[in-house]
Amino acid sequence: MKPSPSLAQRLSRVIHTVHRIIGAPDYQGYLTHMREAQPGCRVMSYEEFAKEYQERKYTQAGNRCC
Amino acid sequence: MPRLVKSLGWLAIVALGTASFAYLALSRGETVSAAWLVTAAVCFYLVAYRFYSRLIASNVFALDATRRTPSERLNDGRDYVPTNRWVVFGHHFAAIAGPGPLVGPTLAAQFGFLPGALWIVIGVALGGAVQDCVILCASVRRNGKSLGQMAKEEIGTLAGMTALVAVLGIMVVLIAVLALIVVNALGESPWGVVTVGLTIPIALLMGAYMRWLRPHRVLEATAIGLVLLVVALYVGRWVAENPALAPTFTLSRSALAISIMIYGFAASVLPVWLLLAPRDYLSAFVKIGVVAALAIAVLIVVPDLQMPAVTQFVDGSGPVFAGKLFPFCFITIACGAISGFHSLISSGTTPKILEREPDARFIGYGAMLTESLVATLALIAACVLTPGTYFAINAPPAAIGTTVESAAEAIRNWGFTLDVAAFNELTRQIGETRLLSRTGGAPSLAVGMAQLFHGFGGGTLALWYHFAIMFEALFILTTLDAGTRVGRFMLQDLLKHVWAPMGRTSWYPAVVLSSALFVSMWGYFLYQGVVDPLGGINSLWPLFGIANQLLATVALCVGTTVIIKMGKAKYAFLTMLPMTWLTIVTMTAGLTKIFSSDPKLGFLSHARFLQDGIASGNLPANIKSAADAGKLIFNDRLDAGVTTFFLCSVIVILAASAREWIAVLSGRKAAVSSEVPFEPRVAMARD
Repeated sequence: MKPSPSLAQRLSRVIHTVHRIIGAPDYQGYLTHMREAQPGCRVMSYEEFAKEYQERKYTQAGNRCC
Repeated sequence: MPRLVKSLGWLAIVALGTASFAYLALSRGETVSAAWLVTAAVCFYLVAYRFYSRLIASNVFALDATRRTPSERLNDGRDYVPTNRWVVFGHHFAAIAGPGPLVGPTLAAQFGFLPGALWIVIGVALGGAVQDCVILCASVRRNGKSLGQMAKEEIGTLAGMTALVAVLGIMVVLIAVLALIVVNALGESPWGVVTVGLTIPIALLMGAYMRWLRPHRVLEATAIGLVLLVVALYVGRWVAENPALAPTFTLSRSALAISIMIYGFAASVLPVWLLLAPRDYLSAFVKIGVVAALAIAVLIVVPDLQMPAVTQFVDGSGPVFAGKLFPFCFITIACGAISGFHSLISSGTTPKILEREPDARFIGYGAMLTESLVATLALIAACVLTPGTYFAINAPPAAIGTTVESAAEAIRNWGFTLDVAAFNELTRQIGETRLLSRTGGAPSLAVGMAQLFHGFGGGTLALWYHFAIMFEALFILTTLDAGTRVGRFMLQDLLKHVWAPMGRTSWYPAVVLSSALFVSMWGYFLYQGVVDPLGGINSLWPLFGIANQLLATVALCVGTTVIIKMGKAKYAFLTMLPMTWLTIVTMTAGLTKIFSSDPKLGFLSHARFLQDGIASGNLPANIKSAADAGKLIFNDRLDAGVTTFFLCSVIVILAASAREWIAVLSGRKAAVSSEVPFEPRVAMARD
């Protein structure tokens, strides 16, 4: 039987959701993706990932509106 | 039987909405409850979502839950990430909602509440939400391509280039007018300056915290930031009440304008993690929080609308901005009814993270309806003020003079009353020394919101007022700093054709030079607004409205082209209807702004009026010298030039699109859709 999620797991899910809504870098998601889809590829550190993500985000129009 | 019940339910909603609107329209001479407006709007939104958006989702695009979306096809764990629809909705809403839907309706309240309310509700259902949804669907079917790319590929290179340059032009005007609103709200207000100023070190602190102390911990840092914002509110009050410190932070509008330019420059050259990103997190929270609080406050307090349904200013004699109801109501309220800028977001991040195709209806159409509701709430907040108070705050000194007594006199001549003692008391209660002629919409909205929040949450009016000012400034500065950085990149992209090294985005001289250039572009318009004797908003806000509606026209042209090329020409009316309306509106407004013989309205006639003044030595009292008048004349001509550029862009895009439509419809060109062909969706592991 699958155990029901603990408080910590629930909290981490809430944090993850809020991160996505406010547009913060989703490193966990990136790690999961790399593990599942491209095993063996080099994985960026959190610092690298966050820097690259944010630099790109504030480069194109279409991020924040009037 | 259930079908009948459902139909009856929808009929009841239609009847309730219509009845509410009818009640609003027919009630003359007495104040009406805001509940009617909210009811009418919500009923209308429900019906529009259920029936009108279905045409886009089912009849045009046939959105298909089994079809692969870009987020799945190109999943890279970074830009393309399949995301739960509620999360996408929140993200999209936080991106589209900014100061626009708050300020526009506040300014348009000078026509009374009814014209603005009708345009917000009808405009969104038939225009804004259609645009957002169609562009989102088109982009989702094209691997998340941007509006510029789609314009280029669907219509042609010329249209694509025009769209690109137009976006740059719009950003210049947009940032300038938003900065002007902040300047008007904070000028000679030490409390506001300190509170809003402190948000910058707060953001730096958050940036440093997330960088060095606790990486990953965005929410921790944001929570600390939010607490510090409240502290900043109290520090501001302390400074304002301290006779030794208050004068230091009492800045003139020109000084504030220069500070904001320096801030924009800093945001563009500093690393993103230090200033932009933390501010953006704070702003996203505050945005969603305040919008929710405003909705709850309106629903609990259920205020009465003090503003009449329609005022005499529909004839164009209004003090807040010049121009008749048509076309200026439709230019003034852009965001909330239809905003071209949204098409950049609908073809930006959102299509890349959409998990299932059918979600595009909920997100594209639904989020825009929500923004429209925000605009309705802002309109309510502006109309809960008595008309006298509203005009005293929003009319420039040229219309009401510089004392409360002269304002009361002017307002009495318009048929409204301003109680001098009560207005002075209100100024004192909100903790300011001057409330008169704080134009730009933000302060009067803040007063309206402060009264609402005060009515349901307690606390002092002054705290609520400065809280509202702080969050409005926070929104605006977030658009301003992110926009300056984006503008810098766009400029670099153009300048590299002149000199290749200018395109290097991490070469410091190029970064500094292009940032300085972009800041001086919007800075010029901002400064022009600050020194403008008519208050600046009068010329800049319509310019922004025209620019924004121009971009919407571009987006709707792209949408129409996409629909026709899909072989769904009989549904092209969905995008052609708002496109035609906006073309009429922007053309009329643009030509009026350029050529009107009324100096209050027309740029060129205002320049002529000043020229005559210089020649006869008879300048208006608020213009000090012939040299100043000369500058104003130059600005008028520049504004006329910019407007001409926007109008020419509309014509170019329309002509290019029409050529493409005729080619396809006449059979000269095959109707081939550039969509990525259907691929079945692979069930995700997490489903």
